[in-house]
Amino acid sequence: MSYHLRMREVVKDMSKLKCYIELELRDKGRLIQKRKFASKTYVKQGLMCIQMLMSQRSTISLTDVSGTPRTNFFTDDGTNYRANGAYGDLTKGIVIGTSDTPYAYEQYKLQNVINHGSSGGQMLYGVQTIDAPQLITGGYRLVLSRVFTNSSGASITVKEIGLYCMFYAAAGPNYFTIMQAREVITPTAVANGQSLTVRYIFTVSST
Amino acid sequence: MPLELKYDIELELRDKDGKLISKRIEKGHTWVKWMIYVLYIQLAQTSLTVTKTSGSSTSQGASGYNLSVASNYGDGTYGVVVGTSDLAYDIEQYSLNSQIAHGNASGQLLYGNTSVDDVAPMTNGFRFFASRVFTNSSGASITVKEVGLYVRNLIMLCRDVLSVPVEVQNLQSLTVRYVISFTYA
Repeated sequence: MSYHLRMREVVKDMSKLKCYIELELRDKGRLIQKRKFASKTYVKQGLMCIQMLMSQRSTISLTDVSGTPRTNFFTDDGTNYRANGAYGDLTKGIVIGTSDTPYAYEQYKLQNVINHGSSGGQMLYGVQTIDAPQLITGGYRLVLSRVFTNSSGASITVKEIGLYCMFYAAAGPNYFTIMQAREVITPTAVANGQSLTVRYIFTVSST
Repeated sequence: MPLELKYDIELELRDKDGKLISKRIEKGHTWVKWMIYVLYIQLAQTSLTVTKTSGSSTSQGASGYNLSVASNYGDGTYGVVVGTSDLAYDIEQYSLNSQIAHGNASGQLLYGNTSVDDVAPMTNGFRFFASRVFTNSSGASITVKEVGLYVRNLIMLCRDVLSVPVEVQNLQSLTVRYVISFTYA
C-alpha cells in the first residue's frame, strides 16, 4: 500500500479536561444567589507547570505570585502541584480579588488579591476542599471548593478569582506559589456577614 | 473558550531514509478517568486506588512521577505508546488493549525516547509536544490502531483509537506526537 502526502484534520466530538466555575452567595447560610459558568482559560504558566512535570525538566523558569522568577524545581518531588490550602492559607487553592483588569495569558497572580482576615477589605479564607473524583453521566468530575466569609464590617466586591498551586524548588524558602488560572467574573458583592463559595469543577467526559 | 486542557495527535510516517510519506492530525478524543485521578492526588496531596497499566489496583499517593512521560529508548512502560487493537474507547480503560512491544522481532517496533518540548505559542493559545518515534525493523508490516500516553507511575492518561489505522512497513518509522494545549480566545 502506498501513502499519499496529505494533511487531514479529523474533526470529531472531542472531550477535553473541562472546567466550570460555580459561585454561591449565602447570607447566614441561606442561599441568595448561585450561578455556574464555563471557566475561560488557563494562564500560560498553568500549561508550563504541566509541561514541567511531564518532561521532568527542572530548568524551566516560572514566575511566582510575588513576581520572582524561579527555576531548579525538584520535578520528581511529590509535593508539586498541591492546592490543598489550609484555613487562611493564600499560597495554594482558590483565591479571590477585587481587580477587573482583563485577563492576559502572561499574568502570574491575581491583580488585587483579597487577603485573609476580618479587617477592612479582608475576607476569611476557609479550608480548600478537594473532593475525590465523582462519577457523572458519561465521565468523572473533580470539585475544588472554598468558602470566603466577610467579617470585615463592610461589603466587598469580588471581581477576580484564581487557582494557585505550590511547587518545590531549590532556592530558599523552597516552596513557591504559581498561578494556574485567573478569571475576571461578573462583580459579586459580598455584604458583611455573607459568604461566597467558589468551586472549580473539572470534568472529563466521553459524551 | 472554556478552561480546557486538550490534546491532538500528529502522526508522521517516514520511509527508511527519513523522507516524509504522510502526515495527519487527529483530534484527541478524551482523557481517561485516571487523568482526573492523578490531578486529584496531586492537588489534594492524598492517595487513591488506581488501576495501573498492568491491570493491578493499587493505592497511589502524590508523586513527582504521576505526570512524568519523558521516557527512555526502549522503555515501553511509559511515555507515548502504540498498539494494534481497535477496541472502542472507554473512559474506564487503564491500558492500551494490545500494546506493541519494543524490539525488532516479529510484531515489534523500536521505541525511541519520549521527548517533551517547551511550551510555545500557537494561534490564540499555547501548546507543547510529547513525541516518540517508533521504527519498524521487524521484517514485516505492522498496523498501528491505538495510541496512548502512560506516566512513569504506570498510569494511563489517555487512549485513542485512530480513525484510520497506520500501516508501518518494514524499515519505516512512525512519529506519534501529542499536542497538548489550551486556547485563551
